[in-house]
Amino acid sequence: MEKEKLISKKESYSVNVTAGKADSLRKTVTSFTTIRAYDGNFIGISGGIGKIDLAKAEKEAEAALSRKIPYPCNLFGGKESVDETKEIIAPEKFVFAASSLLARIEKELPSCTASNKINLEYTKHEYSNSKGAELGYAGNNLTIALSFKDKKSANIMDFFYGSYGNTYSEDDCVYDCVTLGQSFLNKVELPSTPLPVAFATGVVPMMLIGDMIAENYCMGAGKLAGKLGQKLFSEKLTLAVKSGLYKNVSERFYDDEGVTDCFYKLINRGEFKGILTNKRSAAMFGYPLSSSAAAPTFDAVPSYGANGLRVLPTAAKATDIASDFIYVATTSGGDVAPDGNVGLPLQLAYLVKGGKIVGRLPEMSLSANIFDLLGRGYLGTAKNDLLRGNVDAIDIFDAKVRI
Amino acid sequence: MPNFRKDFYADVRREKRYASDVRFIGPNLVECRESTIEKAFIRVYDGKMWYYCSTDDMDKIQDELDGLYACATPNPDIANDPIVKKFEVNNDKIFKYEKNCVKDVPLEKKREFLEKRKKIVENDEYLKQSSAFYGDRYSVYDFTSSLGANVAFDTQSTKAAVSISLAYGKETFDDSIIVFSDGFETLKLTKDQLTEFVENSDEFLLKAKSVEAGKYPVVLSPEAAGIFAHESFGHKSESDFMLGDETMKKEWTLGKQVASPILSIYDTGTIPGPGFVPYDDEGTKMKKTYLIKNGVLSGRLHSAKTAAELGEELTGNARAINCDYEPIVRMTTTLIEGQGDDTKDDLISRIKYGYYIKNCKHGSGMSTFTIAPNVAYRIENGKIASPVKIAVISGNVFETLGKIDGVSRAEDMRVSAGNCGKMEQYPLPVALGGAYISVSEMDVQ
Repeated sequence: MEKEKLISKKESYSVNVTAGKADSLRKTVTSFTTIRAYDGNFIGISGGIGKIDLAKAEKEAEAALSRKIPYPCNLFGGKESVDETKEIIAPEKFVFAASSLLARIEKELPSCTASNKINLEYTKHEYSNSKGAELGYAGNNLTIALSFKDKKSANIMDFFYGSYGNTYSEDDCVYDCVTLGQSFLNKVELPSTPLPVAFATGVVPMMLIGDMIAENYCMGAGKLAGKLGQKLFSEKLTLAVKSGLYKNVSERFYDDEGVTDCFYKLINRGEFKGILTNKRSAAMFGYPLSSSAAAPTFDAVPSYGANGLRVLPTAAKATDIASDFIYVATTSGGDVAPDGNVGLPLQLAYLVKGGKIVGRLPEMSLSANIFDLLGRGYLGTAKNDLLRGNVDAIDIFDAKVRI
Repeated sequence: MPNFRKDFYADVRREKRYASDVRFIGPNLVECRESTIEKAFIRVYDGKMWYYCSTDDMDKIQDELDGLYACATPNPDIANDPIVKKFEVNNDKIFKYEKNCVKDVPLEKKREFLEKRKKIVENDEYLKQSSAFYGDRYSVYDFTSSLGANVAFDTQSTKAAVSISLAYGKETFDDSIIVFSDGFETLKLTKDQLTEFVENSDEFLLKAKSVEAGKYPVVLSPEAAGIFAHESFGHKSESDFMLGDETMKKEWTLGKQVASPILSIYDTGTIPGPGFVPYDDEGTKMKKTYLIKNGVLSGRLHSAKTAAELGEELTGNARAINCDYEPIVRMTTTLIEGQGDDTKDDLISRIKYGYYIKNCKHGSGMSTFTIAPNVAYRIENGKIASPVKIAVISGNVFETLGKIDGVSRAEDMRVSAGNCGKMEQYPLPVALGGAYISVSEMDVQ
C-alpha cells in the first residue's frame, strides 16, 4: 500500500489596527498532519491538528479506503528542500514596528484613518511518500492590509492598501499609503480622450479560471469548451503556474500532492495551452499535472488552488507600457456571462498621468467581452511602479469605461 | 477552569468541532470525510491593549494564558475599564443537540441521502454536469472569563445542495438548489422539489432572453432581498467600522430616517440554523436587534468594545469563524421583517412592467450595491411572464432603501443559509432573508 504524509506548521503574529492605532497582538501557532493511503483504486485520508499519533492516523487512513473515494495512486520520488525564511521584522519587535508605521502614516496623512491588519507569518511544509519523495519548504511573508477612511466620509472604507512579501521598508509603505491617500482626496474628471485601464494582475484573467479547471472544461459547456490549442488571446499574454516568480514573495514550490512546479502554462503567448488538474482529473481526462492541487483541510481530498498562478510580465515596469492610464483599485460585484460579456463596476479608480497617480476618478463601470479584453485589448503586465512596496503587478488593457 | 490573575481581564473560549462533508461530481464520489478538532482562543486585556493566542493543545491553555499575562501590564483598576464593565457574566449550559447529533449519523447514511437525490437530476436531457454536496457541523463551545462567566452550549447545522450545468446549443445555464436545517432528519430535499428545480432550469435555459438595460421596478425574493439587506446595510451596522470615527457616528445617528417607513430589518442569533448563536464569542446571550424599524435607524451590532465606545448595549454579535481568530462584530441571522397582508403575488400585481429576481449568484455592497441575479423573470401587467438574463442590478444603497414600496406579510418570510466574509475572516455561517420586497426603481443591466 502506498502512502503520503504532509506536515504543515504555521506561526503567525497579527496586529489589529483600529482608528490608526495598534490595539491588539495575536499569536497563532498551528500544525496539521495529513496521512493519505492508496490501494490503487481508492484514497483514504486521516490526520489531525497539533500532536497526533502517527501510527493511529495511518491505520485510520487505511480504514478510510472503505469509503471508496476513487483516486489514482500516482506517487513519485524526488528530494528537494528550500528555506526562504528571511529577517523581515523580528516577532518581538513586531508591535513596535507596526506602531511606528501607523504613527508615520497618521502624521503624513492626517485627514485619513487606517484600520484592519498587519500580519507576519512563518510557514514550514514537509511532504514525503512511500516512493521516497522528501520535499520541504520554509518561508515567511509580511501582509499589510489597511483600510483607509477619509475622516469626513461616512463610508465604511474609502480606499485600501495591500502589500505582501518577504521584505519590508517602512519608508516605502508610508510613501504608498500617502500617495494613495492624497490621490483619493483629490477628485479629478475623467479625461475625454480614452485611456488604457489597469487592474491588479490576475483580476481579469482569473474570470476564466473556472473554465480552465479540468472537470469544468471537460464537461463541454464552458466559455473555453473544445478550444484547447487555439490562439484565443493576445500574443503577449502568458498565464502559468510559476511559483517564485517574484523573489520578494516566499512561495512553496510544490502543491498538496507533492507535484513540483514545472512552469505549467495555461495560456502561452495567446494560445490556450493547458487546463488545471490534480492527480485525479489528470488521470481521468488524460491531461498533464499542473501542480495546482490544494486540500482545503488536512483530511480533505485534494481539490484546486491558485498557488503560483501568475500572468507573466511583459515589461519591466507598468510605465514602460503606458504613462497615462486609469488604475482601478477596487472592482467589486462584477461578473462574466456565459457568452464572455463582462460587467465590472469600478468603485475606485485613480488617474495616472506621466507615470504618477494624480487623483481619484468618479465611480465608473466597464463592459466588454473577455476575449476582446485578453485579446486585442491586452497591452501587457508589469511591476507596479506607481508604488514602492510589495504590491501586486498590474495588467493593462485597452478598454472603454463609462460613468 | 483556567487560573485567572487579578489586575487583568481574560477569557478562554474553546470549541470542539465535528464536521462531515460528502460530495459528488457527476456520478463520481469526490469527498467523504468526517473529523473532530478542538482548539482554544485566549484573550488578555490590560486596559490598553489586547493580547491573543490560539492553541490546539488543550493541556497548554494555562501556559499560553500565562504567556499573554507576561506581555500585558497589570492594571489594578481593570474592573472599572468601560469595556470590562460591559461584559455579561453568564452561567449557563444549553445543550440542544445531544439527542439528535449529526456525529451519531453514520457517514454512509449521509452518502445515501445525497446519492438518492442527485439521481433525480441526472437524466435531464440538457444536463452537462451535476454536482451534489452534503455538509454538517456540530460544535460544543465553552467560555470562561476572569469575571466569572461560565457558559457551555452546542450548535448544529446541516446543509445539502444539488447543482446543475445545462447546455443547449450555445446557451448555457447553471443553478443550484440549497436546503439547510439544524438536524439530519429535518433536512428536507424532496423529489418534487428537485423535479421542479430541473423543470424551471430547463425553461430558463431554453427561453431566457437578455434584458434591455434601464431603470425598472423590481420584486426581490427573500433570498435576493436578504442578500441586499446583508451586503448593503448589514455590514454598515457592524459597529467596529465606527470606532474612532466621528463622521460615521454623526451620519449614523440612531433615530434618523434612512429608509421607507414600511421597512424593518433585524438581526438575531435566536433562529436555529447557520446564524444560531446562543451565546456569542464573548459570552453575551443571544438577542434580537432591530437595525431599522419602520424606516428609522434603530440599532447597531456590537461587541463589548464597540458597545463601550458608543455607549450602547451589547447585542450578542461578537463572533469568530473559529478559534484561530478573535471575535469581531458579525451578523447572525439578518431578516427583512414581513408586515401587513400583501403576498408575493400582490406585490407583483402592482407592476405593469418590471422584473422579479428569484435567486442570485452573489452580491456586494459599498455606497453602491450590486446583485448578480441568476434566475429572474419579466413582470408584465402584474404577472410573472418570461425568464430573463440579467447581468447585474445595482443602485445607491440609501436611495434604494427609500424606494422600497412593498413588503410581504410575515407568513411569507423565508430564510437562506449563507457564508459571510469580513476582512481576513471567511467563511462565517450566517442566515439571511425575510420578506419579499418591491422596489419602485432599480438599475437593471
